[in-house]
Amino acid sequence: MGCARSLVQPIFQGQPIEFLEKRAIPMNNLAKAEQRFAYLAILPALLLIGGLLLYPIGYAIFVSFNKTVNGIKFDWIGLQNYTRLLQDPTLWRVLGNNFLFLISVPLILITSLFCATLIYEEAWGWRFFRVVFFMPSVISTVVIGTLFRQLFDYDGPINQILIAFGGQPVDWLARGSSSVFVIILVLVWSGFGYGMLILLSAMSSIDPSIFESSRLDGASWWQRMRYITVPLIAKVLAFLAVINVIYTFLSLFGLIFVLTNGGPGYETTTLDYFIFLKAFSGFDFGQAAALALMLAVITLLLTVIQLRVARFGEEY
Amino acid sequence: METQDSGVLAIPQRPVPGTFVSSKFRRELPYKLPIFLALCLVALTTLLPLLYMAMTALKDETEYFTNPYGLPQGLHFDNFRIMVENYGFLRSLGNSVLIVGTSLTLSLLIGSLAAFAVAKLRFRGKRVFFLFLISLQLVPGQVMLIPIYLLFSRLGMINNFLSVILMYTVGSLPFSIFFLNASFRNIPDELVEAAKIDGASFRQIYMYIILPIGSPAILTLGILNFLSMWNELILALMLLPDESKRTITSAVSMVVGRFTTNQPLLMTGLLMSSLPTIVVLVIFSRYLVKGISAGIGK
Repeated sequence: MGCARSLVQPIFQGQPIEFLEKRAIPMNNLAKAEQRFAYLAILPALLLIGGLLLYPIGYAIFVSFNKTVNGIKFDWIGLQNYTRLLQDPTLWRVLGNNFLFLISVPLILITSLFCATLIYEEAWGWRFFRVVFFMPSVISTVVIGTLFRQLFDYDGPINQILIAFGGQPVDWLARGSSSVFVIILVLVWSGFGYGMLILLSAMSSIDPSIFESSRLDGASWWQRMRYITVPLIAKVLAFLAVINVIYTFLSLFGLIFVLTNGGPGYETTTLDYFIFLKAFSGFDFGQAAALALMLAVITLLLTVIQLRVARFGEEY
Repeated sequence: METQDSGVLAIPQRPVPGTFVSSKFRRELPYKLPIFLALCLVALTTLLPLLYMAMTALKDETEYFTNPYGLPQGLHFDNFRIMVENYGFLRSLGNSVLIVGTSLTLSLLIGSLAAFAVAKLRFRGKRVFFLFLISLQLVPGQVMLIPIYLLFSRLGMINNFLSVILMYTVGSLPFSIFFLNASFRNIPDELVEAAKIDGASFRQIYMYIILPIGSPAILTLGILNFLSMWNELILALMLLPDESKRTITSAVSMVVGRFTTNQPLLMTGLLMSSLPTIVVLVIFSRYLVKGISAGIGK
């Protein structure tokens, strides 16, 4: 490359660009070759995405208007899958669970912010702590779910600790409210590391002299947090909130599958788990597809809100 | 010209932290100690469940009953042997390596090619292609679940690794193209133009300019994709139901209920499936941190 630069640059320096285009290269052919190569380069991606993402989306819309028998026979029933779902009290129950799990979002935000401000000070071993906090994020929800199921088992370590401190053992996963508590705890435990990284990178783009001067002015830790850090990274905080809201709507399947199996009853069943139940326990593909599309609409709305919030934050 | 050439001779002059270690240490102690202690406390709550998992995996069942929370007395690797021999965990691990390895290679190759085109080449319909990718990212995977199942069962490809490989590849593509496009854009246009004038073909530009310069971004993306592919559950459950075809993640989810009485064995299974991702995190943490920070466009 050094060769190309030294040969080309002295010759064309100060020359009008039209000269370069007309004489040096047959621009038309090159532009055509460029376009041809570009199409070839995106072709594999286009084919795969078309066949395995776009076609399935279209097919899902088709399936959602059909009554399916054992997943084989299709009968067109129009909007009945949707109307029947909306009348199903279980759906509202499940949707309520999703909203209940949203309690985890502010908890994750607070924990992430707290840890990000701690790491930001670059005390000893901050790189080590950064990796440790992020560790739960790289472990599959299946492993995390199973691990916490064993920890909160009636004969498990958590109850042993309770007994050691003179408490009564709790059958955590046998009751709805305590199961919800365990799931929220797991969501915070496994989610704050990612949030911390995001907030940390937002904080590193703040001019450090702002913190320095506020420290000289005698601002307390809480004042700096309240009046400098939070307002300056408000946009990223909002982004993180929406990301986590979408996560609780879309990605709890693995966790619920191993932790509570959606139970007791439907008390910890979420929308995405409900889709799986409809499809592979009831084999009602039509309703499952309709449910999935309703979930898609919910996430679409959330994303629109996210974009709005992001734009709102930009005004500062 | 001079500023360009002096780069070779210039000595990097970064402030070297910790030059006056002892005085600096003493000055910072009252300020940094409480922060350090708070960090330790949070780290403890993060690590304790994982340590419990690792320590229990190294105990046999009788030792677990007498000493459930202490350090293991010796190193018992019997649990690993049982998981491999009775529950086919080595095979599941092998399946995961094969599936994730192939999908990862495909997604990086196809993704980097498309990202090169979007970032550096002029072609008609680029804007449409890009908007198409954005809108695809808005559709949750659950929508595709049933059609994908029907499609592959009609093609007779249930229990065929290729079905999962294709789905992992295509599932990662929109994000991959996005991510690589953002970093390929930072490669100076002059480099590409100069190569063109030298008569390099576009294939050569891709192989000898884009790939080498973009390799840190490709590595970062590779790690992110590896983690999500390795931990994927629902497609693996659905498309590879056969016991001999399970990935390690779906194998763990299926054996969960079988031996809740044998805690060490269960923890061994969890450890075996999560160890690869933890090792990748520890080795590549720098790239991961960078990749996730880039994810918010900062």
